[in-house]
Amino acid sequence: MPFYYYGELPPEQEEEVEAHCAGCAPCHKEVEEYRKFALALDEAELEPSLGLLSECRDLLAQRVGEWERPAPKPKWWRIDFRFPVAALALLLIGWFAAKLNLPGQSQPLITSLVRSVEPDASGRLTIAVDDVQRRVINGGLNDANVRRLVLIAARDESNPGVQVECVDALKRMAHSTEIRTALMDAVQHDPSPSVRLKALEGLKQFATDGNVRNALSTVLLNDSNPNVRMEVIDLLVGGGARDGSMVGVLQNQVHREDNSYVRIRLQKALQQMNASEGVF
Amino acid sequence: MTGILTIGAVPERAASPETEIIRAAQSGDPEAFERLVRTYDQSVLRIALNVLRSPEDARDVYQEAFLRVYRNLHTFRFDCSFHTWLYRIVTNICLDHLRKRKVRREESSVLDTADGPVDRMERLEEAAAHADPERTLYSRQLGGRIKAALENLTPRERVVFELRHFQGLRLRGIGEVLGTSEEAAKNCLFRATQKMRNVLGDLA
Repeated sequence: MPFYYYGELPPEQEEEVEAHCAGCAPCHKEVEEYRKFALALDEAELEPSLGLLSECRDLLAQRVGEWERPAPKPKWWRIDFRFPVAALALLLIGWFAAKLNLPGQSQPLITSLVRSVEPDASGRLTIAVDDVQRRVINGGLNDANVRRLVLIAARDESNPGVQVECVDALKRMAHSTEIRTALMDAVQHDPSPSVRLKALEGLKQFATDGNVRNALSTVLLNDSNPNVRMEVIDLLVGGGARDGSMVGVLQNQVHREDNSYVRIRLQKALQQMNASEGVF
Repeated sequence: MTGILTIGAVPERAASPETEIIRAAQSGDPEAFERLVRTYDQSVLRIALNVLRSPEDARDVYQEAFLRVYRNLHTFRFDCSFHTWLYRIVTNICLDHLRKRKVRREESSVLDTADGPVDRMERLEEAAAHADPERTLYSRQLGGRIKAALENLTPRERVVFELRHFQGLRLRGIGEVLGTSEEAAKNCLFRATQKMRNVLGDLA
């Protein structure tokens, strides 16, 4: 029906639909309902105000320096980096991308930015990278160049959406020490809770590893997000075994915890471990 | 110059006015670049505003899109129409905004309260149920409902729907803008309209 309404059917199919609807009351009604629906949507179309348009034009004119002559070739140092961190990440990614011998890449890149990382069922990744134009790179994390690109993008705090996609892709390879280290780094230092939670998912299967437990303890004691702290508690006590070193951490935290929900979870965890709440 | 052509003579094919403007802008003519911007900027702003439903975000998209055009115009080789090239830039930026917004929404959905973490979306629904009954201006209500329905679409579905329904682009053109096939754009439009009708079916 939408294709008929929008005139996207070939002429012969359009005629068939019209002929059919002329003699079929339910289909005729369906066409009419779609038309009314579309008209109702039209009423909600937003029209930019002249004020907004004028503001946009003024700002643009200001930013291109009163319509100064466009440079014949792009120069990376002319890009208006508003955020030093983002700028640094952009350049780092560009530098690494320039070093990579990526499939279909005939000339070195000047600046690049990973925009999205999408895994498929087989574990291969589709990575969209922006330089002058976006290009798509296909490859698995077992390819060292692809892995390096994903690891760099996973640390690019200017784009948390891509970070989450990268960490999601990386977590499947958490058996690799390099990737597990990156996940531990993300869970301890990344400013985005979504990224930290995604990294925790990746560390779940290694929750008994000593280094991972140390990192989790640090997160439990320092992370400002209660959801992250809840996840960490689940990972630390998930095995059910009594871990003496963790008892102290939990006892410490139960007295500092300001979120009642997390505090109850901590108390329950200590009970499961047959430990008291007190610190001796 | 008399302006008289000899009958039977074939004049050299003249470049379209827009092509001339683009070439002038490529060679660094600031007035040509400004004319180019003013030819398309209302459409760009309208797309951004309707896809993102936020004047602030639309303003950001406008700036980023035309700054990219400014920096990369020399790479435009007339392989496609200028508006396809421009819309490709605009829709990519809009898609990035929608994806970032999705992450922000995930981040901010849980609130800390004295009773423990509470999902912000649940509170929103509760608030909506107790909204002031006086606030029933049809257009506002409709706009809100459509905005909510659009939130149900994936970023790509949202852009395809916007370009087809509100901007009137053909599916073939939408495919070119998004760097995909006409068939893929068609499937996207179908899914988008189905979802929209599921939520807003009573408008008909």
